[in-house]
Amino acid sequence: MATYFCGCGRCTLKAVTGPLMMMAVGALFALDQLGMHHFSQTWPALLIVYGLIQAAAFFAPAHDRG
Amino acid sequence: MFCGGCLALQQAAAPPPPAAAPPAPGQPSPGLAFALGLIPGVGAVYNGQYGKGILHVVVLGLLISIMSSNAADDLEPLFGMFVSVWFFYMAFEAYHTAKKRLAGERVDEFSGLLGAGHPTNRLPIGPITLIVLGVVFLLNTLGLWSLHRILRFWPVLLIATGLYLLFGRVAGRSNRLPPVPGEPPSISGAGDDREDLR
Repeated sequence: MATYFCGCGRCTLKAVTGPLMMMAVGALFALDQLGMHHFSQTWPALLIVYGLIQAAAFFAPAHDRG
Repeated sequence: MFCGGCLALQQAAAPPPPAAAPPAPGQPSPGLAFALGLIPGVGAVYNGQYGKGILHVVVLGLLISIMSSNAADDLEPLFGMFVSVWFFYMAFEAYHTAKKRLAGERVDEFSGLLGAGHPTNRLPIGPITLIVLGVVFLLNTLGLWSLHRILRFWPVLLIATGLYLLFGRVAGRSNRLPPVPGEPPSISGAGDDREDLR
């Protein structure tokens, strides 16, 4: 399947969702490894991060017709 | 890869490509997609949606982890239901995506998820729901405010839903976008039903 990026803010945000989520997961596991907060305490932060990214994508300008 | 809103605008701006016939030999099979969808993540991978496949696996793993780690004190039955429902969600999701692909529609990496929404939606319901759920669960797991005390306020959900519907009826009247030909029906949109509800 061919891949297209139209370059608008919304598509860009959707395209970086995966990497950002992976970084969030990594940060939470790092907190776990450092003994600061167990992952069972911090996992809801992933929901918040994903929701914030999607909300930002919702309000970002979509593909302009010109 | 176009997001849903951009794709709709793109189709509105330019005429759709003529005869986007699916390739004959490698046609996706909805039945096979359903069967593979019962294996976590595999149904989405079959549809070429690797990111969504990973997300399916992560969500299932999270649900099982929540159940087995006592993070959801006293709510294990709820999360047990979520786990069983999630298996069927993955299977049916893969089935419908394969049907879309069979019909020649282009599906993007995260199609059909709670997402950035539809151009006709005025409020990002999916993201708001996720943020609220995350805050509630975070308060619970950090021991700041227990889920028991939060769940006593569940009727607030009814009030919020009513307010949202009211908002859609009153505010969404004048600036409805014209329907785009060939556009798939909105999945995440409660706002689109308001014409039918009258």
